[in-house]
Amino acid sequence: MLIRYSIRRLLETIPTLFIISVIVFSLVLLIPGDRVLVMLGYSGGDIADVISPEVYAAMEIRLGVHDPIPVQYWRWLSRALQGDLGTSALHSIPVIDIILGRLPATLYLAFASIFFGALLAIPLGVAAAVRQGTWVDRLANGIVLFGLVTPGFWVALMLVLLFGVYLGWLPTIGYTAPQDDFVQFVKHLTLPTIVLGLDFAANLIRFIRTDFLEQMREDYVRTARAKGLSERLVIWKHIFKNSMLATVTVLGFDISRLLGGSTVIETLFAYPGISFLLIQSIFNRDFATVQGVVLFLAMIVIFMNYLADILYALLNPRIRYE
Amino acid sequence: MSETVAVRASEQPPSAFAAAWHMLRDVVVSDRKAKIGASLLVFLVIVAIIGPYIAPHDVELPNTDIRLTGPTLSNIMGTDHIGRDLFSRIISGLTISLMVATGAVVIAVVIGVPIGAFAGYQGGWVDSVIMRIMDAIIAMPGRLLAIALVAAIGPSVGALWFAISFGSVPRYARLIRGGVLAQREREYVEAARAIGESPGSTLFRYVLPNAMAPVLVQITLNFPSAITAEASLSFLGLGLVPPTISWGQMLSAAQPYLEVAPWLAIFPGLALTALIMGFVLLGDALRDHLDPRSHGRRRAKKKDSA
Amino acid sequence: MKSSATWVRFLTGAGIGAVLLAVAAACGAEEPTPTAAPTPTAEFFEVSDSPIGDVGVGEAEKWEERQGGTLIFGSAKEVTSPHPYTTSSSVDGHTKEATWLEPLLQLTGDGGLAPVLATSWVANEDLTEWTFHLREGVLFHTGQEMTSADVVWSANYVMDANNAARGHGDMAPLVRSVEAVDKYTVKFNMVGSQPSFPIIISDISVLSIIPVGALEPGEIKVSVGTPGTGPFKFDEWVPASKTVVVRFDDYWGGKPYLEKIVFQLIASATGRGNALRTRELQIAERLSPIFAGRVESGDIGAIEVSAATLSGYRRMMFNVDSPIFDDIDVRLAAMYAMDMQKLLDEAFFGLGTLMDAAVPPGSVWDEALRECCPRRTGDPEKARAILAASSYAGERVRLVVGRGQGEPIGESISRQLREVGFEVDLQVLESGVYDEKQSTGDFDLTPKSASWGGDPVIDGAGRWRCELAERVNNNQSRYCNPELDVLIDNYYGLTDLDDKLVQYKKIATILYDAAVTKHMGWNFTRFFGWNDNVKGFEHRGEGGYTRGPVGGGLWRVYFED
Repeated sequence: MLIRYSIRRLLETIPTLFIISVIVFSLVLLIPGDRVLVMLGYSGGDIADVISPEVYAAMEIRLGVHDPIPVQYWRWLSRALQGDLGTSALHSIPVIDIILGRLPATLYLAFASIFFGALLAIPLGVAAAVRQGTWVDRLANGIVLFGLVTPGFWVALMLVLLFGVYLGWLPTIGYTAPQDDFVQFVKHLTLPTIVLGLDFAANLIRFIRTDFLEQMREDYVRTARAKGLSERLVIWKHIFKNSMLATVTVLGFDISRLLGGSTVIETLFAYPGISFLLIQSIFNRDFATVQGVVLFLAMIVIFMNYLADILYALLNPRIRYE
Repeated sequence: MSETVAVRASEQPPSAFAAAWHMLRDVVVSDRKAKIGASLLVFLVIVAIIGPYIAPHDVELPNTDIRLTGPTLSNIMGTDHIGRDLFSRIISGLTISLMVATGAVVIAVVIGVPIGAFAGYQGGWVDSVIMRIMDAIIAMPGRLLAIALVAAIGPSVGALWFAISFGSVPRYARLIRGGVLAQREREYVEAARAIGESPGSTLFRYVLPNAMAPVLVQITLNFPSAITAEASLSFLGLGLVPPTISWGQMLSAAQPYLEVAPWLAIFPGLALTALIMGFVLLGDALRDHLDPRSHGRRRAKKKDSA
Repeated sequence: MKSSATWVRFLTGAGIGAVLLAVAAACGAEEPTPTAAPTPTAEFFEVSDSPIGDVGVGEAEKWEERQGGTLIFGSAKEVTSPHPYTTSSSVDGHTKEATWLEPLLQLTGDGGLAPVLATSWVANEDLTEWTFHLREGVLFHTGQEMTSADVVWSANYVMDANNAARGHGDMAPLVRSVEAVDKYTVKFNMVGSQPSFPIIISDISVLSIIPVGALEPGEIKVSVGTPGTGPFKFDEWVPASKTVVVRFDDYWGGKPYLEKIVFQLIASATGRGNALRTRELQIAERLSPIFAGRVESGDIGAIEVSAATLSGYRRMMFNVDSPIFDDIDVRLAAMYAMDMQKLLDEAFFGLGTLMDAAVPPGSVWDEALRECCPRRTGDPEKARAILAASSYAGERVRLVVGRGQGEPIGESISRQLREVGFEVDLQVLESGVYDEKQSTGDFDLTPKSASWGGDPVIDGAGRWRCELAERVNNNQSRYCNPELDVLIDNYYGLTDLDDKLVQYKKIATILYDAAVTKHMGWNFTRFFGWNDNVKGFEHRGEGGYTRGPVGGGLWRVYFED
């Protein structure tokens, strides 16, 4: 049953992926700019560059810019299916290599944010539900409201102001790989993690609190209570376990949100992840990289959603495999 | 209150807008959060409208003699790097922020609702194809999509409207489609069909009004994300260009002077927060009102405190 | 060497570089140098014969004391590729030139030429052949010796259109062939008379010397740098992030002190300033004026800053082909609308000197223009009057500026234009797109920066030649006047300064009357900053951090304990 469900869901993602590939390809066609010039690497403004017509013509042919659009699309798609996302015009190396090079930074940030967010949200969400109306509940509510109303990049600016500028404790930009210098790695990761984690925690606290309250009214909890189980046992053994199953699914969906939502944060902290790469590529009119990054991220999102779906079906006996 | 809506629904609802209006009114009257949110919004909208008349200084004219000065009596929020009055610029930014967000939300509704209604009403392969496209759009990280779109079209108010609304169209389409599917088989709809009303008219008279309540909630919750999206795009340098004033752009311009002129980053952010808070408070209250789960939660709360 | 270094600092820091440059250019004629041919070029491109790589006595023990350490350099722009011939920005070029690649010769701060891989160069009587004598004993990072074969191969590689080299457009039209005369002598056979050829190939983005066969034909994609002859070897390149070089012990000029240099890309000036303070960076370029000011005032400690006054200028270019600015009256109205002092105050914190033509203010060239071309200062009233009488009917002026530094320029200019009645459509674009709009003429008005090469025509007014108006990368305004072309062509044949001044005045008058450009200001400043334990860092006047005319650069940098 589950296997059949997961296969069906997998097949369902194919048309979605196809549509996404069309959107991504056409988007980049819309972006103004001369891809031949980009490939030749025009100047950053200081050097008066002269690209000779012969060089230009040679590159035009090499890039096939005059082929019909469907031909260009098919060429791009068939290569993408084989894992070849093209070559970065700006850096002259395969896009997939650039993406994979940036992936660790983004993943570290995503997981650190989820970890920080969950660490904050799970105890707070549970406590807020169990101890309704107390200071914990109000604190949880406060964090939720804060997360919902403050734009992340403003919080980031304020943290930079406080920890970077006034206190000088933490670096405000950049990234260090953990294998190079672990302490620096953690320092660089801290501020972006707090910003993304807070935002993430706000949603999670709300979810956990609501879910907990809902379950406390379910029949099985009443039965357990009627059987004379202690309140603590009911909460931890039954409600918490069930609630965490749901939370895991939410986490799955939120990873994708984190990947996309971190663009401004990565840019603000000059954190060399995938979202920052996208912005840099757009600014540099590096078409192949823009296409590659958007497609790559969309695929991750679809895969994560798919996984979350399957996980939910696997963990939740109540699912009907509709 | 949801009971009243439900009761009305089982009769024949007057119109989509009336239903939404009733719900909004009920919630604002009965919920403290909604009251705060709504008053905040009314206040900000008034400021946005009369802004140009109450702004103490020219928003554009630089005065390099007083660049980067902190709050004073004449410039209550200080001045920026070329000596323009921050307070006047923030007021001007409010108008832009509201305008972009409202436009984006309206476009998303105007496109999303018919698409969803059409898909739900048609069913079959038409429905499948439309909803697959909607899935695909939803699967693309929204902010990334907006960024790529603005980059493609170039920065202008229209581009921002389109780019920001694009990602939220599927949400409305899905909501309405769900509503249509749920309503389609209802008795009164069957009855209307039986007496020979056209599908379009049935849709407008019976189906849509009942599906509008969740749309209203979605609208209020869509505003904060649209406001943030505009600010983020402008912050990244993909939004509006001077002389148009955007809070995001002001925050971005404040970065080099963070240490010497922190007010440049603090005040626009506070303004942004206030505007978003208005919508979040109102939207939350509306959702609590509509969602039986959180509604039950409130009841449980009352029981506890009793 | 020490005194020269001090001089460089004086030149670059004192902000009177402009005057010195003009003097140097004018006085060059009095000191003909032994290495250059008795050609017109010798007058303007003074050739210094002091070898750059001269390591003084006692250097060996100092080396032991000073050597070691990794320096992290905060760059404003990235090295977009470690490819030797696809330089994409000046920062990209500086990084390569300061480390692993070297040209045959290089421009000094005063507009002269200094030997690098070539020790001397000479042209035949009619400037149709240029012969370069190479430095002997120069080793590539591979360990093999650089010979004329490598130079011939490198030059031919650049000149082959299929290799998409940046220098192709500069070299191919000028050079007919390159030949190795002997192991250390190379001869370039030119197309016609080419007086400024040495200057052209002194630019690292045009020609650097790499070993024979270091690149495959058509190999425009590399992720590993080729071997070169510089003081550091290429080590690693991470796109859009960093470039790493390590010490080359067999450098012909003597071992560098630093073990390793990491060029870390930090795009924001604020970010570089902060990172310098937290000591994540040891040197940073292009710091914000406000940061430099705070260091100067003692507000920020343990850091040193130095200003590189760019011997160059910025100007607003009108597109004379556009339907708005094809009318000279509309151009004049816009000119009088723009108050450049206001612009300098608003966009550059008051830095920069007002100027009239594309020459250093106060120089002999500038003096020559006193009578002919009175400055068009901002005058809104006059602007409104001219505009009202012109063909302008409220069209939107497409003002195209680059992201970053262009934004405040755009904001200020667009406001000033609107004040007198223009409608303005300000477009803030990424540098690539900005360049593209300029080169395709998709704009009405745009700011453009240019550097001063020591002569107002060869690297300045010469850009207004009609043939360059077609090759639009050079003449963004598309202005073309055959009469001007004749004057420019005749100028190239002149040798006497007074003759040149007279001829230049004619050229400048035509450009002035045509009203195709308005100059914003001269000598923009770039600030370098470094931690106070970093010693021996020198930068060039134009903001490069390669070895200066004599010594300096990163090659001689060391950490003081």
